[in-house]
Amino acid sequence: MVDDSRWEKVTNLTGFDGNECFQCGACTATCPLGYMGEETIDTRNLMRRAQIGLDLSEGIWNCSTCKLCENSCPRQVNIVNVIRGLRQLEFEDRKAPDKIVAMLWDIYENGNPWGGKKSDRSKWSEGLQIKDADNGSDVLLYVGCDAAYNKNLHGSLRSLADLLKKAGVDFGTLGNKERCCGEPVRNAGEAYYLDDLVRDNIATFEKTGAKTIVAFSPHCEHMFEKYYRERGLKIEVKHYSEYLNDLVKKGKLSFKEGKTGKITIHDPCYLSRYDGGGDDLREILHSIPGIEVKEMESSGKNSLCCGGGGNRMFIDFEGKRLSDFRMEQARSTGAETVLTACPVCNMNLTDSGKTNGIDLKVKEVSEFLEENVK
Amino acid sequence: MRTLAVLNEDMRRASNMADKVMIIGGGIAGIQASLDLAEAGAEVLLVEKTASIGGKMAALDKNFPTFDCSICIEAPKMSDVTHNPNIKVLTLAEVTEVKGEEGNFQVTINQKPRFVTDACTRCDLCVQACPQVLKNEFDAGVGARKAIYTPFSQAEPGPYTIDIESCLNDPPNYLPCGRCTDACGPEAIDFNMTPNVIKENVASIIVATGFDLFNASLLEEFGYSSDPDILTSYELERMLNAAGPTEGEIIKPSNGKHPENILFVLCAGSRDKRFVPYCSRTCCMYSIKEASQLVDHGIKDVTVLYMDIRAYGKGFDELYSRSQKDIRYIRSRPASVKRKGDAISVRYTTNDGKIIEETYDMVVLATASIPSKGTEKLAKTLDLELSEDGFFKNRLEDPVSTTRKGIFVAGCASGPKDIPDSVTEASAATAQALKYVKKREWIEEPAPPPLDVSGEPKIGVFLCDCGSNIAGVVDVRKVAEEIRALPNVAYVEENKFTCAGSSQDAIAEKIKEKNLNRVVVGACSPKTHGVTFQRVCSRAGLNPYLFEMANVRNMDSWVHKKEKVPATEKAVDIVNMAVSKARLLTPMDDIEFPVIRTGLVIGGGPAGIAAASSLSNMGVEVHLVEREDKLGGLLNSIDVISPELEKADKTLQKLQDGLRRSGAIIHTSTTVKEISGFVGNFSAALSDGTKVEAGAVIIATGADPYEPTEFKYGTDPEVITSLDLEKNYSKVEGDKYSIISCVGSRKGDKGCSRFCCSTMLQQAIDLKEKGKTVRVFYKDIRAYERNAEELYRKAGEKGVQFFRYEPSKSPEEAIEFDGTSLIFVDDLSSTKMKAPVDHLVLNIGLKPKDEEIFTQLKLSRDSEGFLLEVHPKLGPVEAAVQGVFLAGTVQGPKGVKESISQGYATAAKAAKLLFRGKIDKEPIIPQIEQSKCVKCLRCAEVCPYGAIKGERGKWINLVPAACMGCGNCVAECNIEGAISMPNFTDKQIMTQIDAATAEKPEEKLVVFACNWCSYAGADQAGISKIQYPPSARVIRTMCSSRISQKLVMYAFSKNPGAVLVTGCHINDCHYIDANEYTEKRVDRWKRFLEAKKVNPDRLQLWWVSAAEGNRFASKIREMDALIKSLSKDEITSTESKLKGVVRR
Repeated sequence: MVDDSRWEKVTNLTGFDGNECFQCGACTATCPLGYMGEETIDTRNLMRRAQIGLDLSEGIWNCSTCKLCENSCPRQVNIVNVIRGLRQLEFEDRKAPDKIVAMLWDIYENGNPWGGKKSDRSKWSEGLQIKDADNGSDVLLYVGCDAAYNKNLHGSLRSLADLLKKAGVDFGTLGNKERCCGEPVRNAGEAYYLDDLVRDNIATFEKTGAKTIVAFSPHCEHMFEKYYRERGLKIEVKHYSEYLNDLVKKGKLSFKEGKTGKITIHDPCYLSRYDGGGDDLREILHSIPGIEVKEMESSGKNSLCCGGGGNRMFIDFEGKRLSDFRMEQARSTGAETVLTACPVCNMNLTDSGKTNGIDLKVKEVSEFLEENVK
Repeated sequence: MRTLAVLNEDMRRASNMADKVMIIGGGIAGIQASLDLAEAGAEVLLVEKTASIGGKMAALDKNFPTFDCSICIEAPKMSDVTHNPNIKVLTLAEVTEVKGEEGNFQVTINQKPRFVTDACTRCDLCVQACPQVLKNEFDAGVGARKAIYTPFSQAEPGPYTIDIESCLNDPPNYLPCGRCTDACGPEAIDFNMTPNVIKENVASIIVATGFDLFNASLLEEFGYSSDPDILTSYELERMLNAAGPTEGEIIKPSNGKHPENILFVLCAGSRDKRFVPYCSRTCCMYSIKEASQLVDHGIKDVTVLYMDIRAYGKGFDELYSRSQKDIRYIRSRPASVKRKGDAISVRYTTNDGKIIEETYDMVVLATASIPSKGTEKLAKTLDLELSEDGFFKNRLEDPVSTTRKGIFVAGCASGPKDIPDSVTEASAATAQALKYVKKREWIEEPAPPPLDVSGEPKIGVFLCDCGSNIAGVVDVRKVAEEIRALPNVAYVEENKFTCAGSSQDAIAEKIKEKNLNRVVVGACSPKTHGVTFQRVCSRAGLNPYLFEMANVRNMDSWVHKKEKVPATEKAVDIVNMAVSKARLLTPMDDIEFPVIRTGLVIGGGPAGIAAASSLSNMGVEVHLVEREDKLGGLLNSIDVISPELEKADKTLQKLQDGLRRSGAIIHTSTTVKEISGFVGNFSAALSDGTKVEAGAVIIATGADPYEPTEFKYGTDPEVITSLDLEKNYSKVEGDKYSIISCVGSRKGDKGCSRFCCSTMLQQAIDLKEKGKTVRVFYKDIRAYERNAEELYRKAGEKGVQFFRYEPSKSPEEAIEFDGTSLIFVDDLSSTKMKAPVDHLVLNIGLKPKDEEIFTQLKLSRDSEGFLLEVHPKLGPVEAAVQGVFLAGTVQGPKGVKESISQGYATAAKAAKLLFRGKIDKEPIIPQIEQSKCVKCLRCAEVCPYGAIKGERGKWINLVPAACMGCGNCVAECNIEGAISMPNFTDKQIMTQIDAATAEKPEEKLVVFACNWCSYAGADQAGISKIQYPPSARVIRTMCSSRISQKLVMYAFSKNPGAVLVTGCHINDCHYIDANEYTEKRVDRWKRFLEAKKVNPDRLQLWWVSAAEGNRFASKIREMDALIKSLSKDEITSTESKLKGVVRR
């Protein structure tokens, strides 16, 4: 039965975004999960159900929010937004997976989804003597949970800090006071807690008096630029690749003729599709003299997701992973190093490389730049 | 093209001649407008930016849904344009400035030099000499051309042109090439030609700049730019064309091999917010047409991915459903199209959520139509506004208007549309432009002195290769050799395209040079090209009735593709038959009739009002007759006109104000009690006592809303129609509204009602805005009009819920209504659902009316019962009965804007008839030899028109104006020599029989075919390439009723295998009921044959409509089998059995 009261709720939660869909199905067939043979999502059917308020089908928690489906949508439906709305409905109906609920409790209690302690957040910066942003600095470096609680990424964070210092940037962090940006909360459909979290974070950021927030993760950067912005954040926000590129353009950073070897670039969804193409990433890499970039089959706005977005990191999925496929794509370019600029991508690609025995270095762009900086 | 000197002389003459209208764009809309204007006495300046007129239509292989050969129906019109003395064509020209105002614009035109003069004979030697190989734009880059070229064989004007940008002689020419100059015999190449600036005063301007195609490379996911086997539909169209780059072979561009499976992707760029948000309107149908053609080419697996099949026009749904048995249609859109090894991999989702990955040999993208290049610049030059979609802005109540007075727009310049809608608008724009044409003149080229044809026949025979259409099957050279040996044949020539302008000129030259007094063209059908060649004869001073045509293409090469030897023999016979008849042709003169300069418009809805006011504005006396006490028709019953979203009452007010100002005489509460007469001279008795004598009649009597019985309509008060809702918008109650589309449409012989989807979308939005829950149940959303797709999107945005019920079923079969809810299978999710409903709105279409005047005027109906137009593509507003025009929904369901367009268009058609004040009629009217006639009046008794008057035994007389020329009277007459039919005399037909049976008569089938249906049906078999055995020899007469006992028995005396008489189906006869006489006669002759011990099965009668190519072909197959079953003795003994009964 078509249930009109449920439909009203769905359309409100999805901001009417699904209504325009005319059910061509390009989204379902575009979804990279389907390509991988991973448990896929019938995106078109989800849109259909959002349009008429029927009970949800399977697969709603599989979405990595990579937005690749929206590339080919002729009606330019904000598909990911509809999916987030549908997740909210699931959450409210207490149908969210247990692991997601547990992850939310982690954020609530410890300020991060990884179960790490609040006091461990700034461990990466030990010995670097980074300013406390509360004491006033031009730039607030927002570290983000993924890098802060993953030892393997600490080096990348330190590289970024070094580069900023080298360029003479006045920056600070919130140290252990930093809390999750709320992206996992948003993707879990927990709207009420998200409101609180975002409000608190905005107040914390604004209090520092910083002019610019530089985010290490594109996920956080997107959250600030789009979600926080609509809710009153005034400070300028940049992903570090864009900020560093600005420094290069201003002549504050430059690179030596390096022996970089052949590299390829894995564009993070949240940089390329969400924020317009990953141009800064390429520009800054190409400013390294003598660099040899081999592009993958899918790059730029058509980049393939690593499979880690949309809270997929917190749920176990079986079978072949997107990052496995992506690493194979990277290898087939003949490159020696695959660069990326997102902690989630970094974790997934590294892991896939190890499990599949692919002899290809996965490196964060910050680290790579530091190696080549003059 | 005229040379500059002539052009200047023209300009000097122009000052005291007719008012001029400038038409920008020489596609089919520009061509139609030029012809309509010229025939209405205006002077026309046709400005075309490319080297030839013809536009996109010239590049198309076939038209939908009729499968007419596109260039074959367009080329005669193109040639009419260049030969009409009222029309001046400027190619390679662009309008650069427009000053002044309506009635007196000063325009400046820049014309690029052609570098080739009129001396060009299109011999093609220059092309062979030119070293520069370039992409041919006309072939969408698939084919090649040189720097000196002609875009296509039938290009008009004829001379070749040099693309100077690519020419090696383009300055600075350090190494002058000059190869073409050396190769050119007539020294037609002139590199000293300079650009020309032309200034003219024109009273009005029509913009007909057409459209361009969306760049498919922008659709990255469809891989067009990276793979040669991913084509656009335009590229496929050229490939399908026998004159195209592959000569009609379907091959994979990547490796030249034949593809086994092909996928069509619809909405490539259209209905896509990233690119072209609107619907391109023609792609569904041309894709179905192309897909069907591919099936005919033997490609077994043809799949179409679509979003909605927008088969909104007359006969469209019929083609769509017919095609479903061979073509797989899937509602989906691919996510990606890309190369995978030897094939192209396509990934899409089906309605049940399955992801499909298939491979195809070729993929065809139905790319969107976009405003033609230069539209913005032209808009600036003309000071016109464009709409958001980038096309020229127009208005509902005046669909061909622009934002500037005196400038009109027609065809795709105001949004994508198909050919009939474009030519309708062309005529409508003509009507509007004619308001500014005060001085009218019909420039007559001085007729050359008539040639003396009294001596022995000297026949010139011109044999057309039609590219490879004929020459690919028939050995034309061999035919030429055999024909050359026939008596009286003075000259034989083979042409690549005999219909091309230069070939036409060459025929005229040959007539003079060789003193030819008869001309035979062996090419295609006289129905499409007869008039063209008759004009060529006239231009040479040869009486046009000394021309005969042999239909080698449609009735031979196209239908015997694999039997080259028999096809060549048949071609010899066919041409011999024409030559034989030509020997006996006599010169005749057309008969001129006066035309009463009054117009009668019947029906006062939007179409009738538009027609009457437009015609009246041109200064013609017009009577508008309306049955109701107020004007407006169905406009009075609706609130808002969709998709234009104008209030119906306001639009009606504007239309009525215009009508009042025009001074047309309005008869409300009046009917036409009786109407009779013929073109130029109709007489109508009105119920108010008025008697109207009119030269032209416009029928705009509209259609009736469908009255549903479905879904408890009439018993459940909560069930209303969309029309009921229009009247009661203010009092909508309840919360949950469901609208069900296609109630009473699209089932059985009922087609799509065209306008209803837009109405439904608007009503859904309106109800939604009133706070209701709105559900729409549909088959296909046919939001094809300008702004309609936008409405569809808006309805979605607003939260209207769309459900697609099972599209193969009618709504009442697909949806169960239990009074409070609807139970159905939602096709979009393949799920059974139940939806609550308080109010049910049945979205209804139109059904045809039945009016006595239709019968009185002998108007034909289409399969659904709407009035039949003379040609579905190029004659949408003309009835087959001359002088009668069709406007609005009487011709088929359509929206208000389209009805108004048709109204205007009929005004233009009527105007050209009425302004001229006279019409010419073919002299195909029986001659009574008073000395031999016994005045038995049997002929008068069978005349369907009562055109023969007399008193038994005393006197007899024929009224030429009333006679339509069927020849029934001649067949009825038993007295040798008492009555004869010019151009179809007994002797002429008998000599054709002789020629047909000269060789191996026992294998032959003599077929008599009527001009209107069965001959056209045989043509259609050719157009559709339906193969049948090569035994048939077709003899054309105007009507099957012309065939007499004498002719049939004469045929049998030649010992043919069999004789087949064919004609229009009963009730479809173009001469009222003349074919019923044929039926009786054939029956009688069969009994006669039986009595003479001749197997009566060897004479058969068969009805074939113009559309029934298959029915024609299958009958020939059957007759051929019959012949083969007979013994040779049985056949050859026929003559002796009939001894004494055969007259010669």
